[in-house]
Amino acid sequence: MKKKLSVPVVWKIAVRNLIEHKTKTLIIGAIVAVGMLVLILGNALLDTATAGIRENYIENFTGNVILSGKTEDGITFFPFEQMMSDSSESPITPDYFELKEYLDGSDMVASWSPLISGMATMMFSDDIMMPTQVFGVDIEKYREVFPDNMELLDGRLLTPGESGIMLSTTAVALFKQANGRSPEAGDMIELMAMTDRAGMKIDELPYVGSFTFRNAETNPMLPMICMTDYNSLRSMLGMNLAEETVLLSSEEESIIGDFADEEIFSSAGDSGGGLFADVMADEGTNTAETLFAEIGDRSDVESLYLEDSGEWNFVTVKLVGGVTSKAAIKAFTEDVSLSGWDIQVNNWIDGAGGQARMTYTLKTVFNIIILIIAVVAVIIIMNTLVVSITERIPEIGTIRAIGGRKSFVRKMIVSETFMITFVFGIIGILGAVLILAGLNAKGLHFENIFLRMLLGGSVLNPVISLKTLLLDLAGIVFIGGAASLYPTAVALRIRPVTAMQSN
Amino acid sequence: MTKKFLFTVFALLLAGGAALWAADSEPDFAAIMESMDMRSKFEGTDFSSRLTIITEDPEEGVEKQVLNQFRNDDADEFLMITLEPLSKKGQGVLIVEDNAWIYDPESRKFTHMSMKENYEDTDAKMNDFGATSYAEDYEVARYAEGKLGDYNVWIVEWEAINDEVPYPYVTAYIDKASELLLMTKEYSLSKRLLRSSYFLKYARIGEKYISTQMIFKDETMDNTKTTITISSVSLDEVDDSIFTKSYLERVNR
Amino acid sequence: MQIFKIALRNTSRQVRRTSLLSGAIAFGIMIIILLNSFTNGLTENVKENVSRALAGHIYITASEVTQGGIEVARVSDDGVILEAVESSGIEYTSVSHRTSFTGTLSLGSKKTEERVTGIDVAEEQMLLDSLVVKEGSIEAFLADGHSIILSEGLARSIRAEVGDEVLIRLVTQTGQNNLGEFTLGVILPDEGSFGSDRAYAHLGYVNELVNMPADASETINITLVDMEDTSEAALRLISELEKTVEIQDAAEQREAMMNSDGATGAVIDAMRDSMGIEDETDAEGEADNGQRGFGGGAPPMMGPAGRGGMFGAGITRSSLPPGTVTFKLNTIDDYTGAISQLVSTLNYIGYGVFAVLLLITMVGITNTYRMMMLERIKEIGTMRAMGVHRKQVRRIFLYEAGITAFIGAAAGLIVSLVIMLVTGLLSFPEAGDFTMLLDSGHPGYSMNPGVTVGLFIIIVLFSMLAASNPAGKAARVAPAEALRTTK
Repeated sequence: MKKKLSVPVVWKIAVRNLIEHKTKTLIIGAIVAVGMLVLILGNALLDTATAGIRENYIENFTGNVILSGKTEDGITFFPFEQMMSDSSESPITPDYFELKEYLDGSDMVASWSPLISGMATMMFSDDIMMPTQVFGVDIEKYREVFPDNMELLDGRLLTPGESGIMLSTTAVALFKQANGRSPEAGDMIELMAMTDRAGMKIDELPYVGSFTFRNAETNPMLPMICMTDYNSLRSMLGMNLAEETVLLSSEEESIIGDFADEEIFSSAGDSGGGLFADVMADEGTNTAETLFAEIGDRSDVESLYLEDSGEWNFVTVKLVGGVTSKAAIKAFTEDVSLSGWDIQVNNWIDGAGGQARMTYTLKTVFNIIILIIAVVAVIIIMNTLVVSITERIPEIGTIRAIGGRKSFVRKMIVSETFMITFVFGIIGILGAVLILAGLNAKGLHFENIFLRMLLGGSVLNPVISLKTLLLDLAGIVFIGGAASLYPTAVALRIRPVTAMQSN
Repeated sequence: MTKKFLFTVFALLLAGGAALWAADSEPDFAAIMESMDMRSKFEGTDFSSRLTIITEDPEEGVEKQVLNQFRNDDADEFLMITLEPLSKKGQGVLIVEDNAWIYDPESRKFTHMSMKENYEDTDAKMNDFGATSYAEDYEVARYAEGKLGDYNVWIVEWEAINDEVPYPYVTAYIDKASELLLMTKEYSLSKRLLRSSYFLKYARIGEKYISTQMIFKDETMDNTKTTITISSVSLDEVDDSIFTKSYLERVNR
Repeated sequence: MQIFKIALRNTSRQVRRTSLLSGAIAFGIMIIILLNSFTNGLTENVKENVSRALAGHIYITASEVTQGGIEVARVSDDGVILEAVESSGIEYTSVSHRTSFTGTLSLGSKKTEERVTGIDVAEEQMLLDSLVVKEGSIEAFLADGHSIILSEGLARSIRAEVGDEVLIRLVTQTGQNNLGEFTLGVILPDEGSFGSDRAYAHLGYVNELVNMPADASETINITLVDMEDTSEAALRLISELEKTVEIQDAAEQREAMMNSDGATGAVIDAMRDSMGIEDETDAEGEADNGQRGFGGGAPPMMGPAGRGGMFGAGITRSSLPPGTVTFKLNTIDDYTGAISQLVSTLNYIGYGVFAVLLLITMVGITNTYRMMMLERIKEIGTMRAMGVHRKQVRRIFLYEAGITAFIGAAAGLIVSLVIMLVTGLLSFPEAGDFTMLLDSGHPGYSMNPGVTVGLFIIIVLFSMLAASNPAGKAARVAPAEALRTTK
C-alpha cells in the first residue's frame, strides 16, 4: 500500500523539481535533444545505406544468396571482371535439376532464378564491334526474384520462351553510331562468341527492347549488361552441349605422353616407315565434294545438343522475409554437402563485383564512425547528468537529514532523469524528423559514385523507421536512468551531515 | 579460348610448308637455308590438306581437332572447315584478301571482319605464314656432326640476324642423307630452351617438301605438347567456288 | 595576475569538479582528434597506396622507332625529361624508372598470365617499405637480382612457394621469345578487390628480358608532393617538354587533363584496350603500356598489348623513320576515376564527422559549464560579500573555465596521441578489401596541426563563453540574494 502511494509522490516531486530548476532542466534537456537528434540522423543514414545497398544489389541483380559451382577464384556476375582475373570461365552450377527441387521445397526461399553470365561480341557493322556482357535468364523466374530491377527504355521485356535480346544503354549507343538510328522492333542484333567448348558461334537475335537496371548510375558495370533468353546464350557459349569423348587412333595414342629425343627418331620408337610418308590424297578423296558427305550430315552434331542441359552459372535466391542470409547460407551449405552436390553457397556480396565490395568496405567504415559518434553522444549526455547530480549532493544530504529514505531519493532522481530524457528525447526526434523531411524535400544530389552506391542513388532520400525511432528513444531514456544511478549511489553512501557540508 | 583458336589457325598456315631442302655434299648451310626457304613457298600453287591437331595439357587433358584447309596463296584465298570435335563440326573461316568471314553452321550465319588493320600492323602476309625465312633470319654460328636416333645429322647452331626473329637461338638437327630438318631446339634470348620441334615425317610434293608429322613440345611446361599431322594432301587446283560463303553454307547442307 | 592565481587555486582545490569537466572536454577532444586524424589517415592512405602501386602521379612514356622500323615503348634518354621536370618547377618528391611486360608465369604444369613490373630498388624504397610481407623477406628480394615478388593469388595459382624457381615466358619489345628465370622471394597478401594482382621484379633483369638497354625504361614516373596538383603539373610538364621534344597529341592530352573522366569511361577504355578495339583517338595505344587500371572502377586490364589482333604477336610497325621518338604523358587521374571518388567520399565523411562531433562536444561542454556556474551562485555571493569586485568575480570564473578547458584539451590531445601510437602499431597484414585503407597493413592517422590548434582555441573560447554569461549574471546579483539562492 505504502509502495503504491510512494510512486505518484515521487513523480510529483520530480516534476516540481524540474520546473523549479528550469534553467538546469533546459540545459540537460538540450544536450539530450541534440544527442537524440544525432543518433537518429546517424541511424537514418545507416538505414538509408543498408536500404541503398539492398536496392542496388540484392534487389537489383544478386538476390540474397548466390549458388554457383565450386571455384577457388571467387565468383562475379560480371564477365569483364573475370576476364581480368585469371579464372577462365564462370563456374557452372552442377546438379541443377536436384537443386531446383530442393529450392522449390525450401521454406527459406521466397523465389529463385538461375542465371547465365557470359561475354559475347556484338557486331553492329564492320567497324563497330563491342564486347558485351550478357545475362541469359528464364524471364519468368527472373522477374519473380527481381520484379522491379529493370527500367524499360524502349520496346518491351522478353516474354517467356521467346528468343530475343534486350539491349543495354551502351549497346544502344553503339547501335546508333553504326546505323544512324535507334534500334526498333524487328531489328536483328548479331552476336559472336568464341569459347573452348563451342568454338565460334554466331547468332542473330531479334531486338526486343532496351532497358537499364535501376540505379544503374551506381555501378559502371550495369549499363553494359544486355539480357537474352537463356537458350540463346547457352547455345552461344556451348552450354547446351553434351560431353564429348576424344577418340584417338592407335597411332595418335602412341604419341601421347613424354618421349626422349633419341627414342622418337629410332626405328624402335618410330611409327615406322622411315622419314617419308605418303600423305597424298587418293584421287578424289579429299575434295570439295567429298566434304559434303563428311560434314553435311549433321545428325551426329544434333545429338550433342541437349534440350535442357541444366547448365547455369549462378542461381540467385531471394529469401523469405525474416530469414537472414547468414542463416540461409548455413542451412544451404549443410544441405548441399549432405546431398553431395558440387555447389558453392555464396553471399550476395561475392557475386556483386569489385565495386560492390569497395562500397561495402566503405559502409563498414561508415558504420564504425557512426557508432563512435553515438557512443560519444551518449558519454557526453551521461557526463552532463553525472555533473548535475554531483552538484546535488548537498540537496540529497538535506533530504536524507530530514528523514528521506535512500530509496525515495533514488526514485526521485531517476524519475527526474527519465522525464527529462523522455521529453527532450521526443523533442530531439521531432527535430530530426524535421531535418530529414527537409533533406528529402530538398533532395540533396551528388555526383560521387561511392556516395551514390552508399546512399542508394544520386539523390539523398534518407529514411527512418518507426522501430528505429522508438528504439533510439528507449535507448536514451535507459541511458539517462543508468547515468543517474551511479552518482546517486555515490551521493547516498555519504552520511547526511557530510553531504550537507560539502558544496 | 581465343588464343587456342589463333594457334590453330597459325599452325594450319604454318603447316603448308615446313622444313625442307635439297641435298648437297658440302655443308654450305647458307645455301641450304636459302633453298629451303625458297622451297617452302607454295607460290602459285593450290593446296589442300587435312590437319589433325592433338594438344596435351596437364590441366586440360587431351584435345583433338581435325580441320580441312584449302588455300590459293596466289589469290590470297583461304578456307578452313572444322571436322572434329563434333561440337565444332562445320564451323569455318574464309579469308579472301582483306576480308574474313566466320561461319557457324548451327545458326547458319556469317560474321564479317576486316583483316586490313591486322595486316598493316603486323609484317605478316598470307604467303608468309607457311613459308620459312631461315636464310633471312639466321646465320650459322657453329656446326657439328652427330647422331639422332637412327639418323646421322648435322647439328647446326643458328643465331638470329636481327632482333625481330621470334626465336633468337636455334639448334637445328639436319638429316645428312636427305638434308631435311629433323628436330629444332629453340632457345629464348636468355638462352633457355623454350620449345623442341620434331619433324617426324615428310612428304615430297612436286619440288617441295612438307613435314607431315610435327610435334611441338613446350619445354617450359611439364607435359605440354601439340602434335600436328597432315594427311590427304592435294596440289590439285582448288575450284574458286570453294572460297565463297555459299560453299560453307552448302557443305553444311 | 592575482585573479589568475585564484582561479588556478580554485581549479586545483575542486578536484572532482575540475576532473569531471576537463575529463569531459578531454574525451570530446580526444574523439574529435582521433576520428579526424583517422578519416584524414584513410584519405591519405588511399592516395598513398594508389600512387605507390602506380609509382607516382605522372607517367611519361615514349614510343621509339627502332632501326627495324618497330615501334617500341621505351625512354632511352631520360635526361630531357629530368630537365623538363626541373625547369617546369613542379613540386615532386621522387622520379622513378619502371619497365613492365606481360608474361606467362609457370611452375611445373601450372601457369598464369600476369604483368610483371620491373622496379629500380634504389628509387623505390617507399614502395618496398610499404609492402606487407606475408612470406619471404624484402632483404632476400634485394639480395638477388632475379628475385620476384608475387601477390598471394598469383603465387597460389601456380602453386609456388618462397624459394621456388618461377619461369616467365615473354616476348621482347621487338617480338623475340624470351624466358626469365626468377626465384620467388616474397609473397604479398591479397588486397581484395582494391588491389590487382601484383608482381615486382628488378628493373635491371626486366630490361634485360625485354631486350632494353640497362639505362632505359618503359616509363618514367613522377611522384608529386601533392596528388591534387597532378593535372596542373602535367600541363606544365607538357608545355616544358614541347619545347624540346615531340609530344603525342599534345592538344588532346591537355584537354584530357582538364576534364579527367570518371570510372565508367575508364572501364570502357580498358575494355576496348583489352579487346584490341581501338578508336581513332587512341590509335597509338601501344605507348600506353603503363600500369593500366586499378581497383574495381577501372579494373586492371592485363594481357598482351592490344595490337596485332588475330594473328600478330603484338609488334607494331611504324611508318615513321627509325629513331623517331614521341613522348606521351599519362596521369594517375587516367586510372583512378573510382579511387579519387573514393578519396573524396572519405573526405566528405571526414568533414561530416568532424562537424557533428564538434557540435555535440561543444553543446555538452558549454551546457555543463553553464550548469556549474548556476550551482556556484552561492559561492559568487560569498565572494561578493567579501568585497570582491564584480569584474574580478567574472574574471576568476572565466579564467577558471579557460584553465579547465585547456587542461582537458591537453589531456585529450595526449590521450589521443597515445591511442594513435598504440593502435598504429596494430597490424592487419591480411585485411583483404580494407588493405587499401591501411598504411602498410597498419591503421594510419594523419593529424592536422591547424585543426588541432583551432580545436584548442575553440574549446577554450567556448568554455569561457559558456562560463561568462552565468558568471556575469551571478556577479550582478546582490551578495545577500546570491547567498540565499539554492539552485
